[in-house]
Amino acid sequence: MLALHLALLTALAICAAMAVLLADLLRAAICLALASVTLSVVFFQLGAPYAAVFELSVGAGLVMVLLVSAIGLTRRNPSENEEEGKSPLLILPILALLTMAVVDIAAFAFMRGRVAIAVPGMQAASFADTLWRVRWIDVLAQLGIILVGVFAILTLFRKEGGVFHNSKLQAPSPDPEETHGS
Amino acid sequence: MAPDLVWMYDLIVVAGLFLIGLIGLVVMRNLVKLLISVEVLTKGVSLALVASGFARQNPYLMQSVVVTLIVAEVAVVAIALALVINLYRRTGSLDVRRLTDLKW
Repeated sequence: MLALHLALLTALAICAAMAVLLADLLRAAICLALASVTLSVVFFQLGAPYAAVFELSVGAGLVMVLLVSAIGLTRRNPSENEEEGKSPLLILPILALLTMAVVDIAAFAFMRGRVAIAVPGMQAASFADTLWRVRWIDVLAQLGIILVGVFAILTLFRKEGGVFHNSKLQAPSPDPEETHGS
Repeated sequence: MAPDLVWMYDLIVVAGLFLIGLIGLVVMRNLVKLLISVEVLTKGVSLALVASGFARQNPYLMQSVVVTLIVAEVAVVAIALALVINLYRRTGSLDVRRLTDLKW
């Protein structure tokens, strides 16, 4: 069981790293969706089925659809790909991961057996009880967040031409010196 | 599975996800890639919350927090992508270095 968990965590880290490092946006979005699927399986293993279902449907489904739609509506300049691919800083995530793993293992080796991590008597009755009675203000906040998102998108995609329609930024200056110098 | 051992492995991956996302935010120039990096960061936070709930044997509270986090994440992605599309219509590029209108 622990070996499967470790395999899933490794797959999650690899998919996330590929999502960030791949130059092709569509492949990066697919890797991100795979990372979401792997994360939802990890959630199931950790005894969090509701979070897993949300992660699978929203994280892997809805976010993937939004990303693919945005990629379809835009076109990427090929020179930008080459520039990112040549960056020597791309080795940093691997080095940072290894460093943090060593620090984390050392810290937990020190803390193991000294810190009680399970607190008895904290178990709630059910997920619904927790969400609707203990964290009810979160539900109100979620409603607010959804409304803000809907109104923001309606504003950004209004028919007059988007967020820059009435702005003075509508017509970019052809000469950068003219804009920055004045 | 021993909760503290699983927690340790989970937090190693959380640190990795967080750093991958953070370095993606620093290194990448493409607006969509920046958004993907933010998504990776959020997945690290979700995993940290669920792993902590598993370790403390209190999964319901952490699940409700993670559900709220996922809703906020989707709103952020939707608004950010709408901004990206508007910026693309304006500049014709997804390169973040071209967004210099507020620079002087």
